[in-house]
Amino acid sequence: MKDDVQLIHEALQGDSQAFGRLVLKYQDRLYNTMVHVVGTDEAEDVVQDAFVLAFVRLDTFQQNSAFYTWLYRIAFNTAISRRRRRRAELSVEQGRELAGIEPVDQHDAPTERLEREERVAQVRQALSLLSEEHRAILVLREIEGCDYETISEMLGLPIGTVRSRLHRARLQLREQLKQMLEEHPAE
Amino acid sequence: MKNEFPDELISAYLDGEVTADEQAQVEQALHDNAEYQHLFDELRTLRSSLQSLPRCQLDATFSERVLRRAERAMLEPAAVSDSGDGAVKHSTDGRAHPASRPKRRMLSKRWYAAIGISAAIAAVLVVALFIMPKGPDPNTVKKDDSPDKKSAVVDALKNQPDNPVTSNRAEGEGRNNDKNSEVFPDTSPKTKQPADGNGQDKQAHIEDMVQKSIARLDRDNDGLISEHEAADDKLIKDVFDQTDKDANGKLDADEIYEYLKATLPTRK
Repeated sequence: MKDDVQLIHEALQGDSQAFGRLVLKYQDRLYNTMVHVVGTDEAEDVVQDAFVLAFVRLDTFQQNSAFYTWLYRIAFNTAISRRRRRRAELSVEQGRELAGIEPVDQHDAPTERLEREERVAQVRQALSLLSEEHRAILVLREIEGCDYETISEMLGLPIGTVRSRLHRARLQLREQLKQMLEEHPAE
Repeated sequence: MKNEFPDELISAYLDGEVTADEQAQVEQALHDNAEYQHLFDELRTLRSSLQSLPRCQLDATFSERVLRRAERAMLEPAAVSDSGDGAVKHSTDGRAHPASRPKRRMLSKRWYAAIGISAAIAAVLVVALFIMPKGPDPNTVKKDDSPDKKSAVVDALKNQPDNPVTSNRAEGEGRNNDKNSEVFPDTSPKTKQPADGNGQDKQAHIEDMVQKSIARLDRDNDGLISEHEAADDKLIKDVFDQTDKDANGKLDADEIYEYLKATLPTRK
């Protein structure tokens, strides 16, 4: 399997299918991240915009970082721009709606499944109520599994800031979940 | 009790991002203090909840749709800007011809050169502005917060080809109606407004300074100046916090513009 550098080289030579292989390689990873940053409704658009921009600007990619790191920065900036524009429109209710869309695992017993779905919805809702910077860093660490150095590179933050922000983000998420459990205790 | 020990170390410990000394410190704290142990357990549970969120997949046609859009983005401006030298051609399947790449790179270089020349001219003008006294000019002291003018700054910045942030904004706002300016900024009608008065002189200078600052310091080409990048410039580093209005640890073009507008002296 060709590595990213080779695919980028071929894409720059005009082989757009090589870029297509990069899209296939990273589309789900980026989508799963963006779902938590912008919500299900917008994530696909953001991911598509990011790939298109990456393609158009591929010759400016200096390869100082991994392709996915660069792609993520484009996607994240796209997401932030969209969010800023729509901030006034977004409400907690919409956050709740976003939190409610879950794939269903048909193999679980109904009660178990409902409990799990409820828990997933709560976590998503709590995540959606965090600030952008807290949500982004949590997603990168916990869902993407990035180490601090990669997060530092992706978000352009010193490692020390990554460490402290991540901790604050976790505490915020914990508080949100506690509040939700107090308001809607599990039966 | 909490003050004795930075509890963010517990997060870092959970992530395996501590030094040997810190690891020993955290393990001791967890052993001695039930509160820290409780926090550690909660953070671990939180992590497990986040990691168990269901994964989603895009449909099988996604990559094809992306490629079609990407190729269109390459072809649309090329079709307009191709001067008949054969560098850019539509193939029968509607896909971008490989030769479109060198054409685009050439145009990008021309744009860089234009930015460089503009920046040099702006630097001379800024120096002249400070060292050459002038008579009173009502236009220069008039506060100019016109959104149209400010958007001209942002638009000018958007046209930088290696600026994903600002160009993303353009992409999101007018996905199909301004591809030319986005991909081939030097062919774009959406360029900086010519200065037609002293108020606009100052604005143009600020715009140039914003561009220059970003071009000089933005090593990762994300269109923003991070704290890391600002460390290369003592002046910007010193005013970083007050310039970073949204406190996100990055300076964007708007923030730099606002800072310069507020701090640059007005001609007397």
